[in-house]
Amino acid sequence: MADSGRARIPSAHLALLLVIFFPILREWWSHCSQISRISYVLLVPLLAWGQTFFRGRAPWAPVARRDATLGALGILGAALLLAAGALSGVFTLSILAFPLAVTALFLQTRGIDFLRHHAWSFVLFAFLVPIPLPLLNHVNPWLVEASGRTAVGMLRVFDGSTEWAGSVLAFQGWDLVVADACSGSGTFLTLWVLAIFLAGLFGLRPTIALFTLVLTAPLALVVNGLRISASALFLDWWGPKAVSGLPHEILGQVLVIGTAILLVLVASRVSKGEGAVPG
Amino acid sequence: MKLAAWILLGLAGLLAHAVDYGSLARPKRPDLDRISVRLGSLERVEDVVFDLAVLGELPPEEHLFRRYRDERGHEGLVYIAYFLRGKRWSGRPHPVDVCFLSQGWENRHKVLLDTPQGAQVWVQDFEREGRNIRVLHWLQRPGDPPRMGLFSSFGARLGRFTNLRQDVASIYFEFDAEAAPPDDELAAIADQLVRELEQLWK
Repeated sequence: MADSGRARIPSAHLALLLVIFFPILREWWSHCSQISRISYVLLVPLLAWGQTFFRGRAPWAPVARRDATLGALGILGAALLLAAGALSGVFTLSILAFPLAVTALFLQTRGIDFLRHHAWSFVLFAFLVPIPLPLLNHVNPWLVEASGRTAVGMLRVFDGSTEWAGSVLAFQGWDLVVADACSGSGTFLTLWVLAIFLAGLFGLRPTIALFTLVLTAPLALVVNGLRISASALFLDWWGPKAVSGLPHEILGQVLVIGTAILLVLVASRVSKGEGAVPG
Repeated sequence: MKLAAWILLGLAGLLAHAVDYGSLARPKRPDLDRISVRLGSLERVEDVVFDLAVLGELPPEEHLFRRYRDERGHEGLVYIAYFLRGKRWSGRPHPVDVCFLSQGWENRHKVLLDTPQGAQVWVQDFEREGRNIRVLHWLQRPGDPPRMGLFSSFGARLGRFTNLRQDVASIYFEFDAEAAPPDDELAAIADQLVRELEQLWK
């Protein structure tokens, strides 16, 4: 197997994992592609894989016996999680077993040095597990409130009587209902994953990486405030059609992409400042 | 050790496949139109027609939205949403109070109601812009009566292979707070509906 030094990727084992996890991965794809605020997870495997190319090949070293044993324990943990998920019906447990199994497989077949070399990719890969929705449901009302208040601050430049009540923004005689889906949690989670990707890409030191991660929270709040403000202005200028359906989606995507570019620029500047070497 | 771990993972995978494809227990869509026109003290007024787009990103496979009236003439709404593939913690279905909170309702009071048949359901008061409503809600899975504790819910699921089904129903009643039936009536209504649904998806 990988111990020979020739097999760079344990392909047969990976294929076996895909077969074992097929129903879970199918559910993951179907479920996450239907919920906009967690659809970012679909890109995570690609980003993690792409990151390994930027990182370059890890130097080959024989796998220590201890690593192989730890890897086997990881596979055992994944088996327990998968069984627990199937029996309890808790999706998070089932899907959590997949990145654990993949990580354990690489530990078992490539050793701890390989894991260290690609540490950011493995951390990023774990984010294919969507955040448990009940957790998000607790945070969402607060996020909606905070985004709404941010938007009120921005819109008072145009209309001093702009108000926020519950989840409704009153602006220029219009009532804009800010749905749960527009809480900004999707933006925040997308930026969070992007920050981890960038940290690995630019080889940021852990402290700087942590700073970038923390930065995503206020950034997401401002972006969402901007999104709500822009929606209110478009509603006032062009009517309800301008803030529903495709225009609404486009506005959201443009703002998230714009913020992502901003985050890339910040990470790039910071990495140059600290002399980190990409890859 | 290595081989044993992989064998166990393979077995766990088989279990996941069996649960997912319904080999151990197949889901059954209930015909919700057969829910009684009389539920406890409530009598059906009409089925409410609405735009299906409001059901959101993950609409249920079956649903019922009905207006009921009690003997005092007070009206309320019942909504039943049936999902073929409900997964805990996945947001499908999500708790009913999340819907109300996201629409600007504020939680005023939430209490767990034990029914005579051993079910546990939520009774929750919301307030928005001076309007107060009382909502009776619960999530129901095939098998035993709904229980809110995580472990008792899992215990019921593991108690029988037939309980390893993935389908689930989310149910709520909504009344104006001052016109809502008292708790004992709510409990009787919940018991009857739990029983009827259990029959329909058996």
